[in-house]
Amino acid sequence: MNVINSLFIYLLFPGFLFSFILSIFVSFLDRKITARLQYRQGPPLLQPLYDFFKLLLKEVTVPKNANLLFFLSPFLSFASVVLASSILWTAIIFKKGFIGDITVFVYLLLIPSVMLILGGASSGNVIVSLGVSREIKMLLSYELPLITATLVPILNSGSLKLIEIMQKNTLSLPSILSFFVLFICLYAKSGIVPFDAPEAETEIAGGILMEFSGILLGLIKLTKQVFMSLFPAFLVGLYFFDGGVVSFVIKYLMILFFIIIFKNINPRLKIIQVMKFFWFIIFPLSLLSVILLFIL
Amino acid sequence: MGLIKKSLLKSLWVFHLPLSPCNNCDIEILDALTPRYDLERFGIQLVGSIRHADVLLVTGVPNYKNYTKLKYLYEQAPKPCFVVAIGTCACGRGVFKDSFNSPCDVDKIVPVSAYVPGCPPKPEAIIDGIVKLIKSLKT
Repeated sequence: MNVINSLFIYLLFPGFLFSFILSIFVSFLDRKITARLQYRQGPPLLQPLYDFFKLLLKEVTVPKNANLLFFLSPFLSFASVVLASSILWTAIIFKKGFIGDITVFVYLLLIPSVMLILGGASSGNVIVSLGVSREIKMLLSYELPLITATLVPILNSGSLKLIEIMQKNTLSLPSILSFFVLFICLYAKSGIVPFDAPEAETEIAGGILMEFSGILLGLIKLTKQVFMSLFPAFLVGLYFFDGGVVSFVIKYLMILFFIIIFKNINPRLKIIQVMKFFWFIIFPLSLLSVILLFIL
Repeated sequence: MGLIKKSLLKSLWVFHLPLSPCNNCDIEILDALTPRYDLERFGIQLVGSIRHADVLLVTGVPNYKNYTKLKYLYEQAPKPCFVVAIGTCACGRGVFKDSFNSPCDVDKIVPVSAYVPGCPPKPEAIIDGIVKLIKSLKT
């Protein structure tokens, strides 16, 4: 019974199917609002679904030097992001969880980047290796402030269960600071525009995604979309959760709109600017928020 | 028409493949993709890597330096993949027909699905060419 319940959670309701539909909707919103901001019509509602099914049908091309990791990495990254999504949505919708699920959640979100690095590097392409080196630098920049900033809600509530953290959130100066840091870090993790140096299409031709085709590319794109649908939910859950459905949806959409507008008004940063920004501005801010928590 | 085929026709990702053109056709292609004509309405997107492409937009005249590379790039693209020749040069070599450095037409090297003549073709003509390509694929 327990196994069937877990399978139901993972595959159907807050897991695979739900996050698939939600991510398609979020991706549609992203593209439509981007289009409207540029004074054009934009794609239809089912466009992300069409893209995904088209990529399922396409042939998978294999580079000469590729090994098993090249095939495994998109599947593993998608599986881990779906698991993260089912943990988060179970906590939000069913108000259930286990001790330490926030730690599991944060580490599951690390797997897609690592898998992308391994899979990209195994293709042996020179331009992909540029993208891989940039992705590693991004990982080194945002991972430490992200974990430091997640400490603030944990210490505030004194619990490692997502649902208890959500129910005990308070708005104070350290938590506002850590919200800001966490927003920037998750934004960089989702790899959208100011922080998309690893897959810069105009300079390194898709970078880390360059050698992937067919279903592998489709799964990587889907992983990014699921992550983007997860990221406002995590922030709303940690900082502004009050249990109501309508207020949750409104806050979720507000953060999503803010992300999309922020994406459209910013140019791409160079990788050295990203590292400087994270190491000299964001990491001290995240430390400051933890220190302020103990002083105040 | 199944969902898979419909989704292929609804999301054609184009790859820009210039064979040393004079750049006019390339600018018209970019014009068709920019907000005024907005091809993203029909799911058409410009991609940076040949591995993601469904349609190769070939411009310019093949010459001895690049005609092997055209063949090589076409073989690298995941199938199904369609070639659209943009401009008079790519359709039938135009004034370069008897040129000393041009071996053959584009369609002698790779199979071409649609031709858009013009020097350069207007963005409307490019959109019309893509529409004709989609119509020919539907049957």
